[in-house]
Amino acid sequence: MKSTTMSRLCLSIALLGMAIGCGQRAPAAVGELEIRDARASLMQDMGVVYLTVVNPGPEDDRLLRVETAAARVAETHESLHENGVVRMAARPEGFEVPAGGTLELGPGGKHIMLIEPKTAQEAAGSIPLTLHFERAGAIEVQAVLPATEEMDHSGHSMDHGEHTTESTAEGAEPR
Amino acid sequence: MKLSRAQILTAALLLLTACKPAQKFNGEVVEPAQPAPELTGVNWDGKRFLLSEHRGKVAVVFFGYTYCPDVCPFTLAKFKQIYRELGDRAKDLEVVFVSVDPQRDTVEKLSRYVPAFDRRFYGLRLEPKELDAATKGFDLSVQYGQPKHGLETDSYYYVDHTGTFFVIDREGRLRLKFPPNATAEQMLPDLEKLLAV
Repeated sequence: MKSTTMSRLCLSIALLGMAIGCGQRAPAAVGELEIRDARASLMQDMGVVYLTVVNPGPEDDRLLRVETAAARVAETHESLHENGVVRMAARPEGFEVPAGGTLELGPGGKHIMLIEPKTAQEAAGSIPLTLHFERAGAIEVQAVLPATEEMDHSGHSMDHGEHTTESTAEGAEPR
Repeated sequence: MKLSRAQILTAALLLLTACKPAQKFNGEVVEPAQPAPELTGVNWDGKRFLLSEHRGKVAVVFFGYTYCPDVCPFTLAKFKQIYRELGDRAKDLEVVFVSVDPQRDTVEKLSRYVPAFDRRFYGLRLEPKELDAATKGFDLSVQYGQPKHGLETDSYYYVDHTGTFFVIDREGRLRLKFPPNATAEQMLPDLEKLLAV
């Protein structure tokens, strides 16, 4: 029994260490819901947030709306592909988080759209969000930048016209 | 009748050529390959762009708009990954993002969007007439939504658009099409085959 208790203790310490080591990517758990991997990309006039909601509980829940001080508007949206056509649809009804399941917000699917967001420079690495759930209530989370890791946010701060004479992002001029 | 060695060799060679399996692609093969539609516009750096002037290189042409926060950035990120995988061979692959939203996507706006991913990408603004021609040439579906947020300076609206990737070979022929959700891993082997020719 003792060794089992010790093993559990060690496992708990290890998991805690992992969570601390993951910094802002660490899951934020409130009540029964757990928010994982919240990340955002901020573009000139638009932005996007992706995240995962884990619902280990026995009841369905629903992400109803999102608030953030980092954009003029935050809405639940979904990108759809139909016969080769890419379509964006607002989802004012939000997204279901099934009991014992997950809600995945990711590229090319369900996402939180930001209209007129702060610049990436103003956001300084992350943006605050309040996720409002039907059952779990409000959950605060920080979404780290950028969601699209290939994107160089510094490119957005380029002065107009600078791109024609200087190479800043990739070291290669447009061909 | 006795065949000479040369005749036998020639016959064997012909047989081998005939039996050579057609190149397999992940993408949808356009058959017969046809000359790619012309595409003219202004690149994000202010220079004129003509697709036909890029013959000799492989090109991937796709359509989108900078107000699309989800699919379009993800797509450009895919090609950044493909460029990285190709290494030096990337110099022979033209990545051409064409805006279907010339009203909001000015050249200046494109200049702040496209090179943030990779300065080697093209980001084109087409005049309405040029966009009409591209829409017909590439058989695109483009539908403009209604503004809904009443922003004073720049109303937000959706543009539903064909998200197909059109792949053009070194001879300027439309060879392959990929659906909007094709991954870099699916496209890369096909692009490598076309680049190897």
